[in-house]
Amino acid sequence: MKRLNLSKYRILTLAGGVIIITAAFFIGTGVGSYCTLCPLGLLQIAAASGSLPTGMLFGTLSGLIAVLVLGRFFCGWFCPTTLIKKVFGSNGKKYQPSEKANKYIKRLPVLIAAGSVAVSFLAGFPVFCLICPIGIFFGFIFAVMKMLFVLEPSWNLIIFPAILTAEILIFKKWCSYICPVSALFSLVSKIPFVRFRPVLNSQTCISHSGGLCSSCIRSCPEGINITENDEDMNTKCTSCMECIDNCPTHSLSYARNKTNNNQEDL
Amino acid sequence: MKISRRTFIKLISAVSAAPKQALCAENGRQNFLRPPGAASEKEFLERCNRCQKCVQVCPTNVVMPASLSYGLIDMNTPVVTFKVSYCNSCMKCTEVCPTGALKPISKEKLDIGVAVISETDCVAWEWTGCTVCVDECPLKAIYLDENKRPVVIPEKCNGCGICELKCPSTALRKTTRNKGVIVKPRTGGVPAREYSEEAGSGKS
Repeated sequence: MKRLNLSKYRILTLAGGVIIITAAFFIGTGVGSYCTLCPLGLLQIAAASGSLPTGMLFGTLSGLIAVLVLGRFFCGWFCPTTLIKKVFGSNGKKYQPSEKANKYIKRLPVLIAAGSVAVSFLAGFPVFCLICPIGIFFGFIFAVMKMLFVLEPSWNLIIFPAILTAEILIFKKWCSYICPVSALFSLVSKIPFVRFRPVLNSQTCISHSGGLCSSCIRSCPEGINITENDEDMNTKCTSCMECIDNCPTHSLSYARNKTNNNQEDL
Repeated sequence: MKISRRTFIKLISAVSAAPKQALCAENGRQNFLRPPGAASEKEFLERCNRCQKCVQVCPTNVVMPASLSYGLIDMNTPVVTFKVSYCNSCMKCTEVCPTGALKPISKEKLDIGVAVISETDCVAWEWTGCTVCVDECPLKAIYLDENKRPVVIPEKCNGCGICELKCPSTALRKTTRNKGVIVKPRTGGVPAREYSEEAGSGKS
């Protein structure tokens, strides 16, 4: 059976979301950018203003329910950071910190999430939104719109691409070591629920029958050890489908992940 | 990079000393306009997450994201500029705001700011003859005084910006670079707007 190369369609979704949000400006429909669904934004506003932004609740909660099932799918399929990485990024060597450093650095995004909520409370405005690459990306798009429609070019046209380049292309590990939004997604996906993730069929897997194959691990942008029931699969997987498309024996499929339950039984 | 204990304490004290000047949202001193429905500047900044929904929805493109020159904290938050258009009081921006930074208000209570005549730039203040802002104002909030000079009634003005948009001062005078009438935020001494049912509905 000819397989659908889902990772090829991913860039269409990534670009499509941005195009829809930009098109909404021309039509005059307020769909908002991804910031309207941001759980970190919700927490920061709640901390800064002392009351829940009720208009955001429904969208954010439905987004989080999707995260419960699909994990960090937003990062792989919608986040403009991933789009920038796919378009401009090079597939250079992945920086791997030492085992000891990794233990601390893994907690950094959650700490930043908690810290930005705390600083928002002190400073009285959502602080992380100032440097969040998602917000800055859309800020750049609307700065371009401002230049075209109001004929008022602004500093944002220079500053925003500079910040984005620094955050994403120069410092390559923004998503895994800084991004507090994806840290919140990881936290949420720790809650046991019906999980859909790439599932390995160990009967046909080359490395399970003693062969030397690590196509899936090498293709994984998150560095998850797919062949060995890595617990990162539940929290870190962005459902980008790269491993499934790269598997030479078609041993991986996107399905309900029950491996963790089995481990507990054994 | 290794950080000694002393440097760490220095860093912490620097960070804890910073917020009052660098981080805290400042009150007053603000010289730009917020979209309709923004309660106070402090409350607005507390809630705005820069999602650009109001920018998207504005049919006349007056709501635009602020540039860095408005201030670091105000960067990317929506502001109102009357360079190419005016507010037609559709109130869509107040309806779509998901965070409550812009609160839904009725057309009659629209109050973006107040038009202020610049006596140095206004052509009619220098030499009579121009009545553009008086003719254009939909709320009859500008009248001509006995010397044929335009005067704004702040209680009637809702800051829709038609006068600023249509003001021909820059075209009429080679030396004038600013508009003769500019919408400014309602601060201190300016009396509050008096709401009336007819205002903005086109009846008056």
